[in-house]
Amino acid sequence: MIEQLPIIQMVALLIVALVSPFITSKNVMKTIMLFVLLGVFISTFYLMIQVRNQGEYLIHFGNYTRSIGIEFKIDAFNTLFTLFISGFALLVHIYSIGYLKHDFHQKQIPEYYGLLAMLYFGMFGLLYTNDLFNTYVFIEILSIATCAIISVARKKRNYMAAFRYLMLNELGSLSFLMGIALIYMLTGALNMTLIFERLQSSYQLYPVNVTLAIGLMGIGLAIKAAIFPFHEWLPDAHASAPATSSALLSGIMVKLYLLVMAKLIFNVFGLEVITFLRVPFVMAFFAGLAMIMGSVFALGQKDLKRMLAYSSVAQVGYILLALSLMSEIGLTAMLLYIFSHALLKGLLFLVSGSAIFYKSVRALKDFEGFAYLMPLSMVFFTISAFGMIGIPGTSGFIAKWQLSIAFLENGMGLYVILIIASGILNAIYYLPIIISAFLNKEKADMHIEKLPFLMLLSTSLFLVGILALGIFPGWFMPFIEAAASSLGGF
Amino acid sequence: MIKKEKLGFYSFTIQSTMISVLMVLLIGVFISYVIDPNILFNESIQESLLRVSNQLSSSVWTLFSIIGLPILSVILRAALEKYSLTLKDEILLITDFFMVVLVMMLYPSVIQAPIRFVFEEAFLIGVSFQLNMLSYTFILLAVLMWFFVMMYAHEYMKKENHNRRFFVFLSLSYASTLAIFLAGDLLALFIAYEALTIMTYMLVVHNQTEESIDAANEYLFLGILGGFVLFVALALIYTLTGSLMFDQFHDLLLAPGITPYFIVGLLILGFGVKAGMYPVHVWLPKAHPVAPSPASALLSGIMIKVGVFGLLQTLIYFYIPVSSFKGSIIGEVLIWIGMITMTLGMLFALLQSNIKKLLAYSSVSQIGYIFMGLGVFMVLGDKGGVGLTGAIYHIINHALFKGLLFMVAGVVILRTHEKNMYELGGLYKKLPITAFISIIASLGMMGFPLFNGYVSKVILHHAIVEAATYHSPVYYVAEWIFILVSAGTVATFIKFNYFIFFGPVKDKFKDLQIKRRSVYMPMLVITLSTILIGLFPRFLSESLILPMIAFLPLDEAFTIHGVIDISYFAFKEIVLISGIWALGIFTFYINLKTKAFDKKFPEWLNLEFIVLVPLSFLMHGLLNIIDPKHESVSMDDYKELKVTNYKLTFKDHLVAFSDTLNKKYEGLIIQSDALIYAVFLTVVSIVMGLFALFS
Repeated sequence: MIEQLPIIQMVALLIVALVSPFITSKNVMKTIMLFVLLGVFISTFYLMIQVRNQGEYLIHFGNYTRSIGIEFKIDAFNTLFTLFISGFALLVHIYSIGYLKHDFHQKQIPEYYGLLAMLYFGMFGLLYTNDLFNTYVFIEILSIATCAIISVARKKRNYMAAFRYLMLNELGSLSFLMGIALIYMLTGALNMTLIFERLQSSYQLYPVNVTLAIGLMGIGLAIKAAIFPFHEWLPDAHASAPATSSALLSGIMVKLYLLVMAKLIFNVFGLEVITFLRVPFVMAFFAGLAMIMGSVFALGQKDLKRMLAYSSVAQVGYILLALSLMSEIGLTAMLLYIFSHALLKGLLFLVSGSAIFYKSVRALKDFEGFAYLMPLSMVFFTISAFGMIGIPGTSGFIAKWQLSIAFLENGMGLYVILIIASGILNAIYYLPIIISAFLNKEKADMHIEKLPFLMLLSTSLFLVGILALGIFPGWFMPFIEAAASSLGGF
Repeated sequence: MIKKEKLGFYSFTIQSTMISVLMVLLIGVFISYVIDPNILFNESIQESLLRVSNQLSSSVWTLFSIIGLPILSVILRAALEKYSLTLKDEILLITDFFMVVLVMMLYPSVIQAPIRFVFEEAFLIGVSFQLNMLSYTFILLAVLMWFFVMMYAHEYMKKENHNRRFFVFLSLSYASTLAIFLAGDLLALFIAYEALTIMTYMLVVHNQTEESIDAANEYLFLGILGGFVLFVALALIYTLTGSLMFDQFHDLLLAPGITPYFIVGLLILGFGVKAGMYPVHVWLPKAHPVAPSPASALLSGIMIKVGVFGLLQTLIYFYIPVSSFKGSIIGEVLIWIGMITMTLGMLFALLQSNIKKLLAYSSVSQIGYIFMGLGVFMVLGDKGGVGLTGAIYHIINHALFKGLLFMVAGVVILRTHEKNMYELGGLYKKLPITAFISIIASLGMMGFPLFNGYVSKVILHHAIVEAATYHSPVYYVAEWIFILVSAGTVATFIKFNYFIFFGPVKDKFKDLQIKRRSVYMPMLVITLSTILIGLFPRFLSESLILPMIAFLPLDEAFTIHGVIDISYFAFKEIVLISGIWALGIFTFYINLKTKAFDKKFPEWLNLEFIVLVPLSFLMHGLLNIIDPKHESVSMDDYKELKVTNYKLTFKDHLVAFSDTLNKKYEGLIIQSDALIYAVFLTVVSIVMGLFALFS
């Protein structure tokens, strides 16, 4: 029974998604969603502890063998991330209960939650599955759900963004599919473990096939993860979606594809093949480009949410850079960075959501003196922006520290300069917002807007997460290290 | 209502006087205990004192209360604000009084063995805090200065807005400063250092005028830059040694190649930003003057010393096992940085007309003296005790007289609302006590015999002569620079006092009223201390500074010979100081007659100008390259960029550039998303395929 828990979770999410069109009351839908997410969160926590105590295990659907059936692999890495996703989703849901009055047709709210349930279903599946074609299926589910979420607010801008998202992401998906086909041609298997075993002996015989497969799959995922030259859909999509969706998309969705990339590298191709083809170098190059160019583009933005979206492009660069090390410490740094950035960017988007909620403010110049209207929100914003810069005490510092140590230990000190340069650029575009929000106006026209309790609760819990990860990372490190070693097989 | 406030003010004066008398008594008892415990206490009391002290030092709550009490005090202050006007500021004095008692109670235990607390869980690799004699002296200095400055601030801050915010951030900066002094490893030091950057930002920006926002922004960006520099140094040290404990990185200097120098260079640069070291001092003369005067007094007195302290902590441990001469190269660099810093600081100070700017540049100059002392210590190795003692002694002295001078400037500005000293004059009749205090403090600053600055300058002079004798005769040049800068300092402070307090009284100050004397109490106590240190020059060095550096493998006899046994008033020294004074007075006279004070340095000599203008030009050029017809930037914006001077617009240029780049890039892509990606995909695949074929 306990072993089937992942499937039960996913089925529950799927049922929520399927019944959502038939529920007319938004309050009923919110309650159902809340309880389902809570149940998923608790059960995932239980599952993670189980896996930690008793080791990883496989689930075979319909008792088919590995070569033809679908296989789920439940290990420390998957469960840590599903736990994180369900926790994140829960917080965003709590926020959205208070938030979703704005720029929505009220009738759409149940559908919106249904789409979110579909999104979580896809995320869980993507993490649990140990099958390459299955991965593709879940990627498609995610694409379609995301596209619908972006266009849920019925505005021209949203349709445009959703359309562009769809076009580019389909390109990515197809490219990924082509890669799978090439691999299947080579190995005759779709199961990751089997492919790994068969590829180790045969890759030198078919270098072109393997290279093309890696190139196609890599680019497919790069488009989805918005790695620099392929990031063009992201600012539109994330900036036009409602704040709760932006937090989810920027906080988790984008990184999920990087996790898939890590899974491909370690579990499908293996380090030997990857280093033979010098993929790490290519990755590090694009990562560095993303770190600098994402920040440079963010500098020029005049809209807060677009700026945050470009900042995500830069941060994805950091994560890719960590991945390009392909070592245990690099992987630990990568996972830490993903957690840190998810919390920070999630909070930043939620706070910007509050600003839009009350004042319909999104241009940067409207934030002058904003701290006098929403002091608490601006304090949250300040702390998470400090995290993006890497001030100690926030999770951002720990993540950057770990990343720098990882690079120095591999003797690649020059990359540390990149990390620092991007940090300085972060400071250049985040600090002026804070400064003008707190200092540019006099106290005279001050009237504080009170946040609804649930929005406040959710943002404060994000803040607690940021500070806990920043000050006592030792509490979380055993889990992260276990996840890294189970993913990389170190 | 007015009457009530007046009553409140008087009761504050009386009560604060009582507290400060108690404080002076406490200091007296402490000094007598430090000199010889047997003077005041019999053996059983001594034993119980030691027991209490040991108990205190074994509890982690002592550490928390040293860092946490300042924060608690402002919380209390905010809570009491509604009920009592006097009590709200007194609560700061009372809590700090307890802190002084706490710190003094720790002395018997700390002098025997340093205290150490480790928090292994925190910050991934653990942070630790320690209290040894080195940090102890700095903490004692900080708590005492804070006490007196708070008394002064009560009066001063009545004139300012955002009172509560000011005290909150002042106390947070204070807590971070104490945390820096208490840091037991580099990570703790770094974290507190970053916290200090952010907290002090709010002090600098306090007035929210355009000038203060500019100054504060410059401070913040340089501070964060310094933070990143330190971050790299820390990461390098951690990777090389696996630890950030101070006492473990002595292996580092023995590492081959250029890495150790690189790390030390990063450390010097990173800490130098806070200290106001030469190429990165640009923020200091802007930031210190715009902050409210109590904050300037603490900023210049205590908080720029944290940079020096950080450098001291790291360099001391770098040095310990090294008898080979890797340390000496670092020392030479430090000496010459110190020389440049002190010369330029003095020259700029001499040409200032703004009272507080003059003091701020003079702080830069004095930091140069301290750097020189540290440099001599590094150069001479085990014979460097004199340089080290001189540096620490000068840190203490500078905290006292520069704090005092900023308070004087604060009183003058408070009474006259005039910052330009050429508009002032003859104030000694109106503000006699202020004038007296200012002259005493300036005498200390200028190194007049019998005042505290003289002592440390004599020691530092001996140090540089030793460097010339034992290391390289090139330091005789440094000695001459030292003497000339000292003469320049004399001229600067004669100018300071002459223009403010002497000369003809300006008409608008004819009927200046003197009121509210409570500011003078704290100033007089500090003035007394500067005189006492000057009269008993050996007390501080013997009982506080030599124990501080006792754990270093220095040539003890040599140090004692150089610091304690020398005669401070020997004929030679008197001749030298007379020469310096004569030169200083002569310089002042010449400048006064030729009106050279009105001259300004040309703008192109300004460091910011030198650095930022080429960068602005570069950005501008890039902008022209990617967008030759200026389609993406609106024409008005572009004209604005072109017209205003390049120095100030580097950031604007950068933003315009990235904006244009963004628009160009997006415009290009939007026209043909999918096509471009398809082409890109093919090209990358082909390249990777070729790569694989030929590898």
